[in-house]
Amino acid sequence: MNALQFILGGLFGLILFKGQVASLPKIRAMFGFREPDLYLIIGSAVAVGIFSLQILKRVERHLPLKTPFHYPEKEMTKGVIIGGLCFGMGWYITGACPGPIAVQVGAGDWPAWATLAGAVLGTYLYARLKHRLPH
Amino acid sequence: MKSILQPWPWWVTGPLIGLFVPLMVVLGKKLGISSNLKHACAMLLPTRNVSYLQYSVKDFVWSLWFFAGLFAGGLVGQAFLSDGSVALLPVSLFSVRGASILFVGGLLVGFGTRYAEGCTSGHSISGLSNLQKPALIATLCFFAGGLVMRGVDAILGGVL
Repeated sequence: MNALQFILGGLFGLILFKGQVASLPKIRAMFGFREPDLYLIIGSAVAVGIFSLQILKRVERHLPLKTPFHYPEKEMTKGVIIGGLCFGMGWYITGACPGPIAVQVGAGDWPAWATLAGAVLGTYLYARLKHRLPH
Repeated sequence: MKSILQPWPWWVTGPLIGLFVPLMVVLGKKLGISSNLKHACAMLLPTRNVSYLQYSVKDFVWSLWFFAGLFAGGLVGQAFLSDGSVALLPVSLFSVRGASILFVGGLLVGFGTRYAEGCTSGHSISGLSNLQKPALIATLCFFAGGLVMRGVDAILGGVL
């Protein structure tokens, strides 16, 4: 499983790189409504995701599965809103969501190490402050 | 060959990204990248008295391998599958000042994604694919946050 996940991560990273999802100018163009590319990438990814999960749910009944598939579920908290806004601001500044940070580092753009360090420390900050934040 | 070396169009990359959602479900996992920031903290930083980071990271080693793969994907893409036309970070950020700005942005990314319990992959791709309402709200907030920062950047005269 680990080797497979490494290969899948590699493919995912390559797709993010080639789709320019890890390119700061493309992220800025998205927030500036100058190019439709990123909207089309996210939109078509979600369309494929919705369609394929619907098929999977219908096919699953006919499969001899020991444990049923687990579909991604999300819980509503205040953090979804407050944290979501914080992440969006960081996304604009860095031109990278968490996946593309790793892609930028891997591609050799050294300043992305600063983004990565910030992201890990930001996570640690949340971990330490969690009990004081509204959820 | 030339079209492989150039940036790929949205109708290639978008659907390929989308296919990772059912693929991970079939493998008994779920697509989500920002949780690896949490795993990294649990491995590298002190966890005493931090209940959020007190869990068995061993159960998520598969996820860290996926995360490690992302670095390799960027490396392979840049070294072997690029004609140099994909620019990731602009030249202006290759400086101490640039790295400082990215560090602060990174803090917001790490803090925000964990507080929201997901990033673009977990909420906007994975969550929306399963028609989860919190994922839609999260996605709208991601964009709202970006637009706010774009406004701040404009007010400050484009320093970011």
